[in-house]
Amino acid sequence: MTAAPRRPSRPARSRPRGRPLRLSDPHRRMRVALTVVLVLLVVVGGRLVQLQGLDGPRYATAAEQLRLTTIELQAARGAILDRNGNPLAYTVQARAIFADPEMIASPGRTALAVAPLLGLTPDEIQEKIAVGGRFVYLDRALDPEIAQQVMDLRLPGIGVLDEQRREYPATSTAAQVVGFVDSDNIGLAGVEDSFNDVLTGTPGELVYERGQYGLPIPAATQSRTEAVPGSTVRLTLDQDLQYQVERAIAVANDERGVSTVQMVVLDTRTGQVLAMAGSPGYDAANPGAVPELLGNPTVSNVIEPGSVNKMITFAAALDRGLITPETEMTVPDHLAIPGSTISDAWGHAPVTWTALGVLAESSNVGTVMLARRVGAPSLDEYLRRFGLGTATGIELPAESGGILPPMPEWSGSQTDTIPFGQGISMTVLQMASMYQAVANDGVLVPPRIIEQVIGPDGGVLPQAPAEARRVVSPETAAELQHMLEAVTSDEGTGPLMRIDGYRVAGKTGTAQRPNPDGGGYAGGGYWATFAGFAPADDPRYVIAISIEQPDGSQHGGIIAAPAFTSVMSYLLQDNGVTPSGTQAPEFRFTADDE
Amino acid sequence: MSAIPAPSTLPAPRTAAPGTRRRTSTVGGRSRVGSGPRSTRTLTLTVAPAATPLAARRAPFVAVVLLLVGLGLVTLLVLNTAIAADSFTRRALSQDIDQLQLREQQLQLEVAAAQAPTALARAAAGQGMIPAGQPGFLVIHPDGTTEIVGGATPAARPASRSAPPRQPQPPAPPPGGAQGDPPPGGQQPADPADPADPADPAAPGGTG
Repeated sequence: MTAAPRRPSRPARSRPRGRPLRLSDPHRRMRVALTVVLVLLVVVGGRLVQLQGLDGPRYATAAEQLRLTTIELQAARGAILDRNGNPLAYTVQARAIFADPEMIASPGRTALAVAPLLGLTPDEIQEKIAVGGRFVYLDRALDPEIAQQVMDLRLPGIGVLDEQRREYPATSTAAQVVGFVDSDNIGLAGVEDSFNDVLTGTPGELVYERGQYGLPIPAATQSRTEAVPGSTVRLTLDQDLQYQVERAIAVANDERGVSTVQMVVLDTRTGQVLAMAGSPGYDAANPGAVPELLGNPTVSNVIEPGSVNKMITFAAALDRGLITPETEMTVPDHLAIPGSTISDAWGHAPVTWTALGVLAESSNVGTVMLARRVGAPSLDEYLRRFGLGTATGIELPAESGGILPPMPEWSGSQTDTIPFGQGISMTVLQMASMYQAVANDGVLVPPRIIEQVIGPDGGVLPQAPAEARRVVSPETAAELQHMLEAVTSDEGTGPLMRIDGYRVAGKTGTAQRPNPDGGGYAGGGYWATFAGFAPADDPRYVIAISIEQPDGSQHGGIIAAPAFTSVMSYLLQDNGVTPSGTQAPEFRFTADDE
Repeated sequence: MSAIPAPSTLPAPRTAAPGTRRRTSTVGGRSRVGSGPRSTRTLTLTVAPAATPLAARRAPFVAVVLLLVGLGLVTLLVLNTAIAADSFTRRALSQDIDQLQLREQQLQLEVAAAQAPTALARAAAGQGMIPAGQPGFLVIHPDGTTEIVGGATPAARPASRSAPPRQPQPPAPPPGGAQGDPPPGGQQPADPADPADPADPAAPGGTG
């Protein structure tokens, strides 16, 4: 009761101070608060829309990228097979061991642990680690088992990578044809080089979300693009024959004490290369050791063919109708040519030979006399028809087309020496190819070494076939075959080329070799050459050989015989060629013969 | 509020109960207002059953939901575990495949290396084999006579006759009585222990 009168007095006390009491309006306060909250909500909501709606996908992608890992799936390089499907080169899985030098606390201990597994010395490993940086290869192309053993050591800073290794199971056999690859599997020589694009596959990739420990998160995004392996290349080579050829070359190397021997085997009917090899070659285990030996001498190195080239002179004369094998001519043992004299390999009184006799006895003088009747333009035409001066187009890198200058540029002496194979040069492959034309009844099929390319799906990819062309008429080819068979008769220059049971035809040659140091032929030594085919009555195989001969004391008919007969008889046996049912005919060498 | 209750309000629940119901029903449809008096007539009063508490009424529903949630969780857990277990199995199996592929690769390597001509030649030489020479061909003429084409020459015995270690394994012919006899069946290859002259013209038609 007493308090009641004091109550009204309170406002009365404050009022005099001039500040009118204004009760806050709760609604207004609420409205303000609501507005503030709403503004905040709009800001938060806007930000939400911005983050989730507008930028959302970007952040989601970025987050996924953090988890996503992409692994390249390596595509296996295609294999190289021989004609029977034996692998000459193929790819296997291998591993590379690398080090992260920054993570290796004790290089010494690491090296000591790793070295015995890698077959290296600890010092070598330490040297590699000492290079520094974050990545250095310790060893490559390792067997996966060895890599696993290294990883089992659980050494910090040592890691493993998948890679591929090229295997050459036949080792040195056909190494020059097959070639080799570098450490990144890029072809550097041979078919590995010329067919690199075909052999190389298309890598695939695996994209997956990675969990905490690097394992894929199950049922999460995964996409896998399979790698497409490279195509397989099948060669026309026969691995076993190739081995025989290389063995024959090795034997010739040993027996003759010379280093340079080249040999090519062709199928007469298809022009396919069945074997080709030359020495010196590179060491298949260590191809880079002598850089100048990385090629394939049978397609890259040229030789002067010598008397083997006489065949073309006779082909021109026969095909032009100037002679028959019976045409007689009296031949002295020497003949003056511009600036020089040519002579036969042996002195003799003038002989009246038949054309066959001139070829089979390999008379230089007789050949030049014949070439003069043919004329340089005609001879030039036939040389080029037989493919000289132009690369054959075989599917191998660095092929030479030989050296045959255009006819108007022939020097006076060249006009007279080219007919018997000096002043012109060719590869041994070209030499084999021109005899293939004779053996194939006058149709030259340019030599090829790729039988087929098999795609990753197993389908055979078409290869443009070599275009066969007629070089001489079938009659001329038959006459040439007859005359070339006379070479291997007892009176000819190549009786050692005969093979029991089969008739053999061919032409021997001994060519002066230009001195590699320059200054003409003096001191250059000789090439002993032979090109022939068998069976002469139904030719199946052509072999061309050239063997370096330091002193020229023995001609190609003797030196090349072991290599020719061993390889040819292997070929005939291995392919089941029936023996010639007939004997070689009687040959009329001179006018005096019946 | 005043603490004095309105006297009329107390009995209201009892008497007004039907009225309330009626009123509420009118809310729903105006048309029933007119029929009000009629419904009052027919309305019978019953004792309302003891109201079941809300919680008790919802209990089965909650139980079902809980059960479903529980089942779902368990299923999810099982599925998840299964997926994880599968992924482990898959990983183990793919490791097995990798191992087997590597093994296959290794074996293929060995086969390819052993098939290579150089390896074959070496292996053959190790067995004491030598390259065959030119074979002879036997031509049988229609009249029954035969002719030998080509010279079948026995292959030259290799210079070094290092007896290969595997050769002595086939039992040598018994010393007694086998001296002049050819080995039965003639299957035995040239016995390295046999000092027979390699030039012995065992081959048919050795015309050289």
